[in-house]
Amino acid sequence: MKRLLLPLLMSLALAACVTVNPNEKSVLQGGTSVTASISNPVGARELALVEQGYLLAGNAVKGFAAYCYPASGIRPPGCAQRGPIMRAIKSADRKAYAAIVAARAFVRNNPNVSAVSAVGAARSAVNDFIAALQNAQAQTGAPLS
Amino acid sequence: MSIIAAIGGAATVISLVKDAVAAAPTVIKTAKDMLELGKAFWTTLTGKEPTAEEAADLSRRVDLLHAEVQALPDHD
Repeated sequence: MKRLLLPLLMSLALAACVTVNPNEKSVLQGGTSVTASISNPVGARELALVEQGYLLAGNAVKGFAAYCYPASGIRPPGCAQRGPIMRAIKSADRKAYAAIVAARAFVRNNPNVSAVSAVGAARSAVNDFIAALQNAQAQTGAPLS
Repeated sequence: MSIIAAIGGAATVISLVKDAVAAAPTVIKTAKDMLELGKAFWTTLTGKEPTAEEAADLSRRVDLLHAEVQALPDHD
């Protein structure tokens, strides 16, 4: 019986430690509680960073397209495979954008829940988008800036 | 979210910055790019959460750029 009682008492004690008083203010917001709920700024900040990364890569894609699809119509020597490369970039772009839109919805709808998973998926998709761009530069020698 | 979860989240943000820099050495070239990245770093390191207006503006720019990228030529 003692064996059963000890874990029960321990769990009650631990439960008391994590009980959250809705009137408490977190130390992160000038209060004294280390267990009080706060909004989820990490999700919003992370998402902003991922979107910044997407903007950098997307603008570089425009530079790549200007190089391999010049207005003169004369294809640069390194751009023989420009069609498949550009289609691969666009495919990665669609996945990155879809993941960003999903992460936005998660952050908006769950302000008090960690968005690490949703934003992590977006980050991974944006990294794939950047990798497709790096592959394009490696294959064509196109300047991306 | 408790302070412990917040510390874990901050570590994830720092990791995210490191990954972004490591993944995009060839992309970050222009002064404008550096400025944009600098803003992102500042936002992260100062712990400043983007305002609703800033977040909306960023999202709008992403939406427009996505449409532009999808409209680029991709023929052989």
